[in-house]
Amino acid sequence: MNVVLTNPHVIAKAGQEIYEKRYKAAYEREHGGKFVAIDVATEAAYLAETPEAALHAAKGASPSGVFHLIRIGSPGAFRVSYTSNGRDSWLFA
Amino acid sequence: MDEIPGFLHDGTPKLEFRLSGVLGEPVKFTAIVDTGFSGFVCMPIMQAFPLGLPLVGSTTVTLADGKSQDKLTALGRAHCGADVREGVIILEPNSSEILIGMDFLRSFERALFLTSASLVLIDESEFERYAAQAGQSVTPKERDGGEGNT
Repeated sequence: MNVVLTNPHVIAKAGQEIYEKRYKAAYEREHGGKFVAIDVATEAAYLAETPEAALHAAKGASPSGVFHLIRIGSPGAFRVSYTSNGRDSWLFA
Repeated sequence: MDEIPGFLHDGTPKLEFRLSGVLGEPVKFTAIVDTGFSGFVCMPIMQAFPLGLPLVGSTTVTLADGKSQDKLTALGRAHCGADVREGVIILEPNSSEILIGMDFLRSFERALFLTSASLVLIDESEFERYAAQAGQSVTPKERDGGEGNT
């Protein structure tokens, strides 16, 4: 899959589909609370205790890769309490 | 390790830190210290561009109302006192504020002390020493307990 690194919705959708198809069942059994970076081109997964460690491993294996970061077992990788009025429009369509 | 002083601005806890990407010297920013944010740094995408932060992809964040939003992510190097840590930078399309969150404190191993007039980040081991002197046990480190408990 060739995903352009501009629109987060496209990357997230691709990454989430790969995660659910290939990794979710096993990871939620064994690795709840850890972080996984999904390479949306190769479908490889990089698992770590922290978000920066997962992305560091992913970038090390594929320096030009595009990755979707997931916290296993959570709907979002991060919680945000203070945000820009909840708006969600991007510069890049 | 030095104490890192912050300040309150209109009742909001803020801290100065520096951030760098692949281009040039670290740039100083003032950030809101947001313990309801579980990540490292969240910043407006327009302020991130000049730093040359390497984009890495996306992530999904959960808002306080339970809704989810997809965000672009980059890797950046934060400088706090004499220490430097790499972390995930969440890029906001609309915000004008920079946030530092719980992963920032975890990564720098800092404890946050907040009073009605000021704030300071101290070495976590200092906090543990104070707690031990006061006869308080310090609970083991753990990642946060999931969603919705801010």
